[in-house]
Amino acid sequence: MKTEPQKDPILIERLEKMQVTAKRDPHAAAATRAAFLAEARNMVKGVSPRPRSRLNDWMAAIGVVLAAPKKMRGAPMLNTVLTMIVVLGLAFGGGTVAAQTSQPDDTLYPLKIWSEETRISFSSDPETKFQLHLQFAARRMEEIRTMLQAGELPSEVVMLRLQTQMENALNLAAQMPDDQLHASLLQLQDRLQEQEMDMEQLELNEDSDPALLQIRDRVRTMLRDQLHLCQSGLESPEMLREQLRNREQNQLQGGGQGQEGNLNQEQNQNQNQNQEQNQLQNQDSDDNLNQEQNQNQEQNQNQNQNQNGQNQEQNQEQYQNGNDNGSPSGDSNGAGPGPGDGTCPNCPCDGCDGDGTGSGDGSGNPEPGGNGGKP
Amino acid sequence: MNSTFDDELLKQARQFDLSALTAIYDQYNSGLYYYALRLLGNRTMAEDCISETFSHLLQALRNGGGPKNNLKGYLYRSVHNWVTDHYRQKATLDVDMDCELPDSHPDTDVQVEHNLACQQVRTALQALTPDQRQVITLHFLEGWDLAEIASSLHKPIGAIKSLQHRGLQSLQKYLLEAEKVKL
Repeated sequence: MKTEPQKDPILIERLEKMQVTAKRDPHAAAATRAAFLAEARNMVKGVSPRPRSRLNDWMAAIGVVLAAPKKMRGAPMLNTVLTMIVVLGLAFGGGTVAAQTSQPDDTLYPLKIWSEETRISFSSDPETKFQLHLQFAARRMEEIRTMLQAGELPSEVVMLRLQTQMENALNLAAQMPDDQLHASLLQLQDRLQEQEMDMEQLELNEDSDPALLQIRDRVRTMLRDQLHLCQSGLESPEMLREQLRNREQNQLQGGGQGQEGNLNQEQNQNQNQNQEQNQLQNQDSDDNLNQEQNQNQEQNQNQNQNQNGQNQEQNQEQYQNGNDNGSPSGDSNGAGPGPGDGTCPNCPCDGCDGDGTGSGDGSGNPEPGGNGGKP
Repeated sequence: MNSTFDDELLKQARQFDLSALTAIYDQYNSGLYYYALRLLGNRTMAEDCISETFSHLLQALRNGGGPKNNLKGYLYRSVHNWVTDHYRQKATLDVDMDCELPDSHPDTDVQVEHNLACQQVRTALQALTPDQRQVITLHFLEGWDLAEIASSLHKPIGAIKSLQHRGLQSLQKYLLEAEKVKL
């Protein structure tokens, strides 16, 4: 019989055994301390004047703004504008902070998404954008996991958003130089593996709501697809770029209608829950198509790249046809061959957030910041 | 350590007050070293880890970053991330065979057995997700309470309990599988 882990005395004893260690070597400890102090002293010499001068600059700038209303009594507009800035800053700033922990069914959730989209659109560096997409996709994953754990069904919008964020992260990585791409893909791979493990450990059993199981399987399929693309990119960056280009072309050829369909779907979703259920039923067929597609891709890769590109185009067409048949809004169930997400291991910083809604026809959005599903 | 005192130290450290930086180092280096040693099983690497963690803190402070509050949580997270990266880069780590028991236990058999058991747990810990691993190591190896871990990881206490439960479950599973392979 399986023991509850918290009450398993052998497990706890084995963990506690690790508390015992040998004493630290005093010479090594002294050397480490000396190295730290030397580094700190060097920095003290080089850095100490800077904060003060920086502070002085700030104080001077703030002083100009604060002094301005007194001097410019004849300009009442300035007072009004300053007041509005302060009030809006307080209102949106406080609300946005509070929204960061909200869940998809909370009132503040749209504010959270809006702040994520804003952060992405204000960043110009591809690496920063990649990290943001990675972190925001991790947020979506956590939201979905929490909802499934609580027996709630994540909406299609949340699923589409996750997929779009994963795809955008991979698209951004593919635009980087090869060495940077390699590092980004390794990071992405780690995140995807962690998330897949998280999903695997999700406590759902055979008796759980079949719709929940379907969503979990769909997320796992998404993760596996991303992982597959990631691994192919690690083997050959060019092959990944080719795959993404093919997908983009297919999307441009057949995706315009589908993207409009997504937007309509998002708008109508809250009004029509039956539609969602239909989509979930259709999901099975989408997932099967994805699996078939992956198998085909693997076989094609073993042959040659040119042939691979042609086959993949055909497969993608099949996949999109399948979606078109399956959903009243033109596509969108989108457990398509999408890229992955992530979080951030190396620094102890808090996580960031994710981007927007989607062009969820199961393939990469060519616009990294592509919120709102614009073609 | 009193968090107000930590905050005061941090404030001074941001201005690169050498005595504050030294106080932070002296306060935390020993605890962090043993935390790293338990996870790595190698004294040289544990020293390297501590050295890089504090160097990273200095650089972060110089660039205007570093912890906003909860200095202790920040430092332990840094060590944890360093160890995770190290395991990622290197599939197997060199373990000191005399680093586990205090002052080289007289009975060699007992020591070897203890070392192997520790290494098995260490390997199993690496199979967990980073969050699960951090919760379990801080709670069971470092003796932190769950509220303290929640504050350090910026997560609600319910999430920490859930991470602990799932982590222990996985750990139990991995260790059982390792036992089966051994048999």
